[in-house]
Amino acid sequence: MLRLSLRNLAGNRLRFILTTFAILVGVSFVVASFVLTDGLIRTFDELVEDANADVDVEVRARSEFDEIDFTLRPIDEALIDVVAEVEGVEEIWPTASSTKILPVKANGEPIKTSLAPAFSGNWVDSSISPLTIVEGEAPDEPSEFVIDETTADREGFVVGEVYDVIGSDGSEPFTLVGISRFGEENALGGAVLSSFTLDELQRLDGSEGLITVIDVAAPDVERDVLVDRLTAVLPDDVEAVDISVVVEEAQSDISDIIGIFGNILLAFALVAVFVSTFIISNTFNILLGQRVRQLALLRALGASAAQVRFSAIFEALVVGVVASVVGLGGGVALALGLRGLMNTLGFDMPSMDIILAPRTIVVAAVVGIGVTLFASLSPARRAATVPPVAAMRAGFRFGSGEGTRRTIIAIILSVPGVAAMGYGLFASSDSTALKLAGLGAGAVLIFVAVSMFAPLFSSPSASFLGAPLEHVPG
Amino acid sequence: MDQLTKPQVDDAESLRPSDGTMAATATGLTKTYGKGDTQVVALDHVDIGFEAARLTAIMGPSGSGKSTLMHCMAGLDAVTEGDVRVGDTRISELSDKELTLLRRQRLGFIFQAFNLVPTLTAEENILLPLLLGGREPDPEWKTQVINSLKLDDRLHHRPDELSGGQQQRVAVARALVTRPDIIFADEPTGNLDSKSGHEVLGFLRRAVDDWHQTVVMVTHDPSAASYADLVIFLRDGHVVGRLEEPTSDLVYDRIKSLEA
Repeated sequence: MLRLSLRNLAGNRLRFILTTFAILVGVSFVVASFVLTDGLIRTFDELVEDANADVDVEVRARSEFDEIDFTLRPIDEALIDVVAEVEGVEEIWPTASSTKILPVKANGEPIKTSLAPAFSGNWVDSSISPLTIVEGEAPDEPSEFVIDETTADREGFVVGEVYDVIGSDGSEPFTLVGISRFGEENALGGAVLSSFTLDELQRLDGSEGLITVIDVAAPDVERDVLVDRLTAVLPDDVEAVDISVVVEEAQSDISDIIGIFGNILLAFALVAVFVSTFIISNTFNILLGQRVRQLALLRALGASAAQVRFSAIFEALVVGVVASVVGLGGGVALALGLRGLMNTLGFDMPSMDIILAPRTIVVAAVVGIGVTLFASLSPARRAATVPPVAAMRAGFRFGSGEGTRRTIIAIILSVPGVAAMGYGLFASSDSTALKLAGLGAGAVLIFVAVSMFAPLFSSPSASFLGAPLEHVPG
Repeated sequence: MDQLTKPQVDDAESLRPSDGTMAATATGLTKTYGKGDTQVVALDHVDIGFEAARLTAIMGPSGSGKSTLMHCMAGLDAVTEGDVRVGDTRISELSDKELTLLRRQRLGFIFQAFNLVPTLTAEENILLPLLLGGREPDPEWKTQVINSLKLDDRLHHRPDELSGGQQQRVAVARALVTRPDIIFADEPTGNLDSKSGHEVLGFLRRAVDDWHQTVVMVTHDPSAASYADLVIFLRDGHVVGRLEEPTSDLVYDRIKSLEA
């Protein structure tokens, strides 16, 4: 029987490939979402770690809530001197950032920032900064600035030229003295990044005397000792934090953001998997319908119902295994393709490691094999019900059977389906996530319900549309 | 389950010529389809026996119940009423599993069309009933069957690479390879030209004469029926006649009189 299953697959290569493809798409989406998020998270993790490799402690405003880093309240720049006085401190890097500053292109139009915000920072000439100068030099004078490589290329900024920069007090001219690169590839996710001297940044931002954080290096002092010493001299609303904590926080923030993106992909993947379940189930049903006489022949010759059922399931198993293995590769390719697509669209993404986590492989196998087997159960059960006499009689058809039960289940499913979808579409308040979940769950339920109703009215149309297919060797 | 396994007897004994024992019998066999007003009686209290080591043909106009009779006798279709035995086994009492084993081990089948699994080679098709039970063929018997059916150079071909006659010969070989108690043949020559048809009928005849197999054949072709030892005529679900030592002409005349 195993041999027969394999022969049936081999004898129907096109159908086999198409069935496999349906599952493969779902598996690939799932794998791609994992590979992409795993790869991006690791890349950004490494970026954050590298950027803070020389820092021991960060001084920042104490937050009452678990806020994300870039919404930190500013602190008084007078603290720079206080921190510098602390015993053991060797080097300090005060940093300030702003989202109120926007360079203007040579043609007088501000840079478009539809994809991601425009960030500005003070130039920190040190290894702790992920920024490096790739052309020209760092800003040294108040009227100088640098801009990131991608923006310069895209918007036509040329080193040595003078450009207007819009700040909180209107625009004024600045000389572009250099081009910066973030990390190794300037992968800013589409953001515009300009750098100024600290004083000019504060002035343009309208926040004179304020900075965001002070990074501190004190290689000869234990970090907790340094934290204690700093805490002793800092005001209550300012804290000194071990840099490893800051790195972890940043990494966790990044994971959250990438995770949201990954979940959207995963949602697509689940829809694909869901749809393919139906495609597979239908395909198997069609295949078995075409093979009724063969099944009946086998039953007449002494194949047990269990053997027939198992041969159908085994066929599905082979399809599932192939789809999982190929889907794993397809998922990696899709992840790379998605990254390329995002780069083309302007969301610059860093190149990343291909990480095939064990979790990814397990999920691919569960989805690919599990879904296929699940989808084959009902057709396999039907296959085993083919009576042996059907071998001698042409025109045997599977009974639609269970019609009433199907209808009842379909109605039971469609009611909460419509309700959930209505909630997702029309509910006025509540969280977006809840509404999206309602929309998704509603769509799934309605899809199942409709597909259960379908056989009731699809039979005549299917026999009409399917008529030409009867001549396809199956 | 024991009752299903073929009784262990010497080859010499199992190959004995007909001595009047019955390979299969039916008493009061009734088969109806549908219920109430739409009820159709396909077989109406039929009493019949198929003698071992003989070739029996069942004839009758369409709707006479000849195919239903064969399906019921072969355990392919459930009977409504009555007693059907293959050898000593009352098959009307068997479960689906037991019937499956009975068909696999003790019966052989030759159908009119779609006899072979298209994706398996001729040899695999021949051995299919054995493969289904995980049994090994008796190599000598297998060779003998294949050679006498002149299939030795066709074993690795797929059914679609074989002529209609060759395909039917593969089906005959498959029916013979398990040395069943009875071979049921449903219009075995219905789809063949007359030359191939006579070839296949010749093989069935030889299976009875040389190997003392029992063959029951449904046919509507008088010249096919002439290969039989006995022709049983059916009409409207009743046995309406028997003809020993048939010839084509005698069968033809009898059919004419039945239809009149």
